[in-house]
Amino acid sequence: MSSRFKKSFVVVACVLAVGVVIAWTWGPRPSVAGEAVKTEQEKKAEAKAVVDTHMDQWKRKNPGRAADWIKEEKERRKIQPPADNSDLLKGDQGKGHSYGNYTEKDILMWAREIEKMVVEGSRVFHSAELLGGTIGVSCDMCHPDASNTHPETYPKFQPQMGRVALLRDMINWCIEHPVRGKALAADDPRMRAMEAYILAQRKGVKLNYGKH
Amino acid sequence: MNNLDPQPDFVFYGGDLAQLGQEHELELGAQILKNLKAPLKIMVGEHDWYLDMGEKWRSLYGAPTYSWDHKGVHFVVLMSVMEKDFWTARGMTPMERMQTVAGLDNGVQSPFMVGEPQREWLKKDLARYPNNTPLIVFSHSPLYKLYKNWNFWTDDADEVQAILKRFDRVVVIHGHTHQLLTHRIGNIHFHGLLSTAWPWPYAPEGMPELTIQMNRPDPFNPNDGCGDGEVLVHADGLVDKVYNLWNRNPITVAKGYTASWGKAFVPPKPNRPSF
Repeated sequence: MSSRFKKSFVVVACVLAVGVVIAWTWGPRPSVAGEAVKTEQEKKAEAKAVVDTHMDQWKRKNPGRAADWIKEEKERRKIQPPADNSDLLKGDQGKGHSYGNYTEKDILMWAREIEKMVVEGSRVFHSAELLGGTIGVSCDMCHPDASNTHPETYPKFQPQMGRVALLRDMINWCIEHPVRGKALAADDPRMRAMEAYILAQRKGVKLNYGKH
Repeated sequence: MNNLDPQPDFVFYGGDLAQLGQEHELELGAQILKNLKAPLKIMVGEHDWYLDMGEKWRSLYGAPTYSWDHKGVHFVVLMSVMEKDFWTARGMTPMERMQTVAGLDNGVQSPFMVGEPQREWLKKDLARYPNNTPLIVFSHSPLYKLYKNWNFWTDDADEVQAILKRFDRVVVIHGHTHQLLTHRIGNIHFHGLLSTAWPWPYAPEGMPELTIQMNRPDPFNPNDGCGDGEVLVHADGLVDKVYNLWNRNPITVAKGYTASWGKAFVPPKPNRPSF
């Protein structure tokens, strides 16, 4: 055989071999030796069964919480939306490196996650039970829509506490005194969620720490 | 109240005796109020009503809408926290309905209103009084449209104001807002009531021009921003509204202030304003 013929034969053989490997790894094939290939319907049914199991687990872990708790809470309260990040998808942003190369899915995921936390904060803020209050008082009774909370003025020296207070310290003071509950740990999910909600409602107001 | 000398003509309770409308709350409140020496005139608030739709209230105090005459003044008490049914379609229990209404910022509830039947009652009740009759209307919701998000609002305020329009001077004393509020629309002078439980912050929008806000409450003082009040009624029917803020100097919104559209008898400006 001529060398040129040999070369092209080798190239074609390699391409074919790679193609077979690719088809073997990614192509449709029986999942277990001997089984038929699954239809779309079967795959969907399998996936739904997995999702339903997860949902049942969630329901057991969260008794008394409606499956559409976010929609429910948003129906009751006016909650400020987070910053609009859609600008990140415009123009040349992120091209040429991995960080900053965002997709619509990213923007949507961030918005959904922050919404979960802020809406959870609103739930706790409006519920004496979730706050651990003992006299049926919840935060919204003095702070409807988180008004009059002034998160932008913290940290500030609070003489009544004898120290410089952060927003979470004031939240705990209120939980202990008018709400008559036990102070929450700084990293208690309820405290974090309430901080998120209070800050969300004050969106756009300039920071001014120390203001009395 | 019992130590006042002279005693007032009557003591008026502005509504929200209970928080969640429960029997034991209303009974305890009624028991406390029985200790007053002066006659009691009472008005219903939304917190008293929406657990059992006023059943217990009526058994304690009778019809929530009524009127009487005293020293030449015609007094009317309205039930101005009626709401369109929002609970049946949602399958709410009575307590769920009550807790929805109890939430100031709960947008599921309907706006407050007086409603057509009561407006008809009001027209008939006022029919025999000439235009120069001093007229004082007690209402839980403000009888004007201040801030819908917190139900500082009466949905049919325009219709109610139209019924009151023919009188020379009308004073509306309203509850619900838990703060010093002053307003005037034409011949109607509106005054708010303080709460004995806790103060509300001022609404972010819709503030009447005549209102000079009270100082923002100090959270570290559980009584600050709360109080009671007095209404001094002049011969022409206009009033001096005295806000007896606990732990603070009283503030008087004199008849001359609303009469002059805010030019004379101006109450003190706050030195700790809301922000």
